[in-house]
Amino acid sequence: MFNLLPRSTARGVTHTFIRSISYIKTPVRGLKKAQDSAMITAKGELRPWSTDAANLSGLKDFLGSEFALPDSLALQVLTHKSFQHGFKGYNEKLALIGDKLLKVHIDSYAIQQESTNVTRVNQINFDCLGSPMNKFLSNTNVLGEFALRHGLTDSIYWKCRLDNLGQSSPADSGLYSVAEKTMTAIVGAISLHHGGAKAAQFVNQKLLQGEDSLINIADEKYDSY
Amino acid sequence: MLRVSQRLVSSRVGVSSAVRALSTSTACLSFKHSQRVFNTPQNRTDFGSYSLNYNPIPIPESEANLSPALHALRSRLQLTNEYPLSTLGRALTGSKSIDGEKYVNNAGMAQFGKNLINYYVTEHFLVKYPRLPTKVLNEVAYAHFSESSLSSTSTLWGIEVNNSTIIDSLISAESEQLRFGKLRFAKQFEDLTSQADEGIIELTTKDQRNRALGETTARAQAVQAIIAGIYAHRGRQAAREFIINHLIKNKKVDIDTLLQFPQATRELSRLCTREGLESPVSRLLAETGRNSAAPVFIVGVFSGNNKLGEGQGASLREAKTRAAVNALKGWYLYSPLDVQVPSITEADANTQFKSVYVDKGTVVI
Repeated sequence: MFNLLPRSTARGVTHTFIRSISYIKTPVRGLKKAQDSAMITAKGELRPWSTDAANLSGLKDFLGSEFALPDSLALQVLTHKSFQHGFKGYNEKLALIGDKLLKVHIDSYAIQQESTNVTRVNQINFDCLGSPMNKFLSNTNVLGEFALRHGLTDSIYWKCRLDNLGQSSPADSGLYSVAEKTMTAIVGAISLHHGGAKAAQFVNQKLLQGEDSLINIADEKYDSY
Repeated sequence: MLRVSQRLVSSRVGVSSAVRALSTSTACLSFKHSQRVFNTPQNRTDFGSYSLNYNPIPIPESEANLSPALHALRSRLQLTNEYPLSTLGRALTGSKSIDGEKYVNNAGMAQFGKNLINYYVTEHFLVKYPRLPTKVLNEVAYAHFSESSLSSTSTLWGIEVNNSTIIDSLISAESEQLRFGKLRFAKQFEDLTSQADEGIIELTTKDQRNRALGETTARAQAVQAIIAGIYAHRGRQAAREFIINHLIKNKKVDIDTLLQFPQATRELSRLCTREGLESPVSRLLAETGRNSAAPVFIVGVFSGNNKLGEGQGASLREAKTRAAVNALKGWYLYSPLDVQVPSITEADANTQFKSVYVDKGTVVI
């Protein structure tokens, strides 16, 4: 609230005009927010939702030419439901199918390791399934860390969870959960676009091999969780 | 002429309460599995060196061959001789085995079979109905792979539960081979400690009760383990075909009834905005008996010149809502023709695969 300068009338009586500014906390039904306000990234940058090369370069570099996705699908993979209140195409269903497929491939990898266990079935050791390490391979923190190390988190469109002071830390911002969804959505998108065989190849080559593979990350982080 | 509300407010797709009742959690299977104790190798990621710490042994094929029930079950499921009876016997050994069980249980096989079923069932419905809201898609898939559903399947397959106790078996001198053809697991007992009569001593310990299984869970795990056995002996493609033939094709779920729209007109408006269509407008197409006790109104909802849906009702409001629901169902229940599921390429990586339609996601209002 602030006062304007007093004015004198012809009768010599002074009137003071007061103008109030009220903050309405409750949302107004039907009120539309400016679209730009929802396009601010977790780092506070304004980034348009588009298939520009700069937006998709992180994902394209990671996929390479062998597992490349069309730009529109790649943008959908990188868009979380929280972005723009789900108004843009988002990755929920890709993540749903990708999650189930990833679990199948991770378990397939585990049971097909060479084994001398007497209870193996046709050279397949089912007894490793259900072990803590086996379950940890598809854990949110492991997949989130994988996305972080491969530079995929910077490209994700999502709404960062903030506390009452407008602050957030990596632990409670929801970053790992969103990054996990993105990783599983990549698997789902490759499966739906290239087919199941290519998706299996992708999981084995890109996720389960290499220095920063899910297996190495899980082994590193196992004791801290 | 009626005009559909243009306000863009959040909406959601409801799921009928009847189906929601089906979605009782899968009883924390992962937690139960974590209770199993493993011989963990020094290199924790060397999965080939894991084993169960009670040092179980596999059922010998020669012993399993003496079980008529196993032969009958294998024939009934049209599993060929490639599927050994010892594996089938293992699939019928519950993950919470009865005390003194020396044979290996089906826990690991059940977990793998469960993952296979979850994937192939979800993939089937995702590709068949690509626009189905995620909640409804989950419910439809769950109706196929829930424990109660798999338990019913095991009953249809003629899997019997071994109800005789160890003492019964000893008294009747029942041969061990006869038990192999039946589902064997440690059954759950009610907690009697709080209501036991004076002088009654409970012989089961708390630990034994915790290691017990419900019959529904045990039956579901047997089905999952049998499918894992198909994967092990006949390959992934055979397991996929078995799941499609036995778990997907033989069960019909009326998806239409699962869709509920608490704010149909708002959701339709939001959908049209997202898809870049003209805002929906409801128009009265026909009416009769406006001033009578039983009027009927027929309303169509249009986006520009395109009719999206039509509904009829005893009031203008009802007819307008039904028209919007009709339009939304037309959108969500879209099913492309001649579509291939991605897993079809698993058998042969050179199979030509045509990319499937990917939906943008459920409309959020």
